[in-house]
Amino acid sequence: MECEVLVVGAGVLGLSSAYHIKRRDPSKRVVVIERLGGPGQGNTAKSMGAFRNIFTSETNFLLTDSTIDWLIHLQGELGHNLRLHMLGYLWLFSETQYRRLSDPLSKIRARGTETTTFEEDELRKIIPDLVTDFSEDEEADLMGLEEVSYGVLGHKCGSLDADALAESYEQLFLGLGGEVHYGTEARRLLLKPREELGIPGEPFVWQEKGIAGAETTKGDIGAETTVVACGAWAEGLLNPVGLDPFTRAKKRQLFAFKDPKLNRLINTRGLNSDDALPLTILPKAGIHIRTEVSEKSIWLGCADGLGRGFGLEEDPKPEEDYYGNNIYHALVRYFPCFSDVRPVNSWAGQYDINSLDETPVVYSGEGFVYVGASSGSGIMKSDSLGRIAAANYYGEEETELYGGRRFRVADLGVKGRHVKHEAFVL
Amino acid sequence: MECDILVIGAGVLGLSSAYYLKKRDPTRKVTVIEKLGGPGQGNSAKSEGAFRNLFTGEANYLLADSTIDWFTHLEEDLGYDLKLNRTGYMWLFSEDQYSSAKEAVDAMARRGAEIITYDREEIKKMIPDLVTDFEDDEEAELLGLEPIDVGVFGKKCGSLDADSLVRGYEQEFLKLGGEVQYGTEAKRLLHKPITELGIPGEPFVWQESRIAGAETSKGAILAETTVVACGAWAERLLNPIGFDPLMRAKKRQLFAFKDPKLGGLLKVRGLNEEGVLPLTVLPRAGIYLKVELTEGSIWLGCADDLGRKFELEDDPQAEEDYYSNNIYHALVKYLPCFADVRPMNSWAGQYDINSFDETPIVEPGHGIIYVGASSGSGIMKSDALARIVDAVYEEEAEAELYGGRRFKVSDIGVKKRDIERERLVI
Repeated sequence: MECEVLVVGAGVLGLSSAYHIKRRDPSKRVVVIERLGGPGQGNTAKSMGAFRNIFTSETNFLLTDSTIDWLIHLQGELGHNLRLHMLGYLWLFSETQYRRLSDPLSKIRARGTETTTFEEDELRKIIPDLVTDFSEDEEADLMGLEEVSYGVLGHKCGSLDADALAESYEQLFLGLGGEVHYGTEARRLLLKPREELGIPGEPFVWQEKGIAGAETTKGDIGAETTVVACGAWAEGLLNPVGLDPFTRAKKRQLFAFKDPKLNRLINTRGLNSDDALPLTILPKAGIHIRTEVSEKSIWLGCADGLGRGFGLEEDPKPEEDYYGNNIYHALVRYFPCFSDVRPVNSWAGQYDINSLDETPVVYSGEGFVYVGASSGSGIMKSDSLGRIAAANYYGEEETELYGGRRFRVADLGVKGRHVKHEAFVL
Repeated sequence: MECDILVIGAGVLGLSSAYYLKKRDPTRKVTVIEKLGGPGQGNSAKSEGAFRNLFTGEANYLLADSTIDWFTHLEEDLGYDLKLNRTGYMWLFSEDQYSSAKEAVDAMARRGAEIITYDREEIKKMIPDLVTDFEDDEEAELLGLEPIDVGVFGKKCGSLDADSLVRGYEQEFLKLGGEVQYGTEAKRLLHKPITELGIPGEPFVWQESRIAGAETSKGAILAETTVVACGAWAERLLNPIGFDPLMRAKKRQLFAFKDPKLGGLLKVRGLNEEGVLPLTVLPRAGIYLKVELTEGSIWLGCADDLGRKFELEDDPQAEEDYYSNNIYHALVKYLPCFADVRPMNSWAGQYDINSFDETPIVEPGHGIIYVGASSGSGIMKSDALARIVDAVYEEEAEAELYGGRRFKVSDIGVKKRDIERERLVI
């Protein structure tokens, strides 16, 4: 099979890239292949499904802020039900943490990001289940837990149904005449010389060469350009041809809770129009919880850093103990309402983390475009990254993000990369 | 066993770092462990042993230029025989290549790198064996080989015996009372809570934790600080704890030749005192040759890029065919004296390549100092990198390089990295 553009991966980044490439020139044959059976069934499906425009780096702000506008447009004007909820993100900080972050926070505010800052007593009033002070709790002190002195609520933040978003991109893409082949796995990228000489052993080291498609479980697919957009799995395709995906995979687990003891917490009033607990980040280990509005449950995750190894897994599994004998100890000090509450469900996915600057990478070379290293924020940047991948494909220096802001394509690339290390990482 | 500083790896970066850490305070217990049987037996031993101060990146220039001065000091003032020579680097370009590199070459010259530029006629006179244009060679044109129009010659470049350098660092380190344990392999880094609570399952995700040494093939070694300096192997230790080494390993092969037909290359007048071919980089595929003065032979390597996989190997081997059925086709067009000459020896080592900016990384955190990602230029930057490791250990903002120039250490770290991507990469 031959096509002009082969996109490897039907997750949110693959489908969004495919859609934007096809949208700009529907006459091109754009084919998406995916080893799984449907759209967004890889790590997209395992995601927390949260979005925020609170980032310290200008780049990450632009990528998310415009994507959030696009999500609102997609649901509000194009009629896609993404189950968007503007729940907000509530970052809880100790006095020391808040002071240390005062510069980045004022930069974030100066950029026009809507935030509200709450002091400890206000937080206690709004979230009566939250313990902010451990002066009476020797054990919490011994554990080295940070007290809560401030809360910073970002308003243009919330949650969505990641599956629904992936399906929307798929529909938009199919609507333009795009093709998606599920159950088709890319085994390896095809490397070909620009000018074939017909000598055995090509491509030789001294030949100009490029990626010319992929060998798949359903045969070879020749393509003028191959867009590698398979997230954590990209290393399996790129490493063998000596291209660096600039990412390493790390498992992330999510735990879901539904218990009458948590009802008051779920129904936190006054912070958003859903009157539900925003995505709330504790001042330790990036433990975060949010309301899942559709099922009136709470989802919980944790930003494990040192000690959680990098390593790509085919089918990452949640570890029962990880909640019960690890996160729980700290969680229950901040939220005693979790006492003896067990998760009703749990699952695990993978982040593809770029440890250099915690920001996605989009670069192109001979016959390929790579979009990835999304570092846990691919969904909330999916629209801008799709546009930037398309701009790479069309060889443009700048692209227009949704809403009209312009983005210098090389900033997210490798050779001309211009990105500041992100400090707000979960 | 316990020590103040555990250095993993007795290659050039491990031993030079150990030396400066010990020199700063000889009362410290600094222990180097190495899985192999002696100093520099890993990738240091497999190296081309060449050095240059021709780098487009300011940081790379400073690192290499000061390290080269240190080599001279080590040999001339401290009496180590490094088999140092300054035969120079000759970078050969086509007109097109030169016009895109010219700006960088001019910037290097302004910075003080001693550079002489030669035109085709001059090059032909000095190196009569070299074919500079392919007008009469249809086959070479079909192969897409670039003609040679310009040579950029760097004088403060040459080669040394990597083994002798590593032994020099080892001896200086031992003289100060340092310890080296060969045949001791670090199996994994020990991850411990800063304050132990005595609860099973520590360190928990919410605990402040650090790396507290390593479990080795000879038992656990506890250390206040662990310096990870094992090059391409660093990923085996760092990935499992979730610390990204920000590099990937790639095999590089070297082929050695000794043949009367190559005699002309051993008698090249006008470029260096030794009257031999400098390290010469052909305008295709980064094929490079250097004269190994000690044995009157020629070593040849090649900068294989796209198509050569990233993969860590325990014992990489040279591929016979890689010379004869790959590099050879192009080499013999530029240097017909190689016709039918077979390598008398070949070996392979590994580069630990940082594809982001092709510049090393020195990054502290969690009880570790990581020095690596040297991208094929660890030996020629060894002294500067080791001084930076020492400054990082002392929490100094700047390191003093040999000769007195100062280097801001956070520039070469991760969080505040300020490095321009290197353009002269082999």
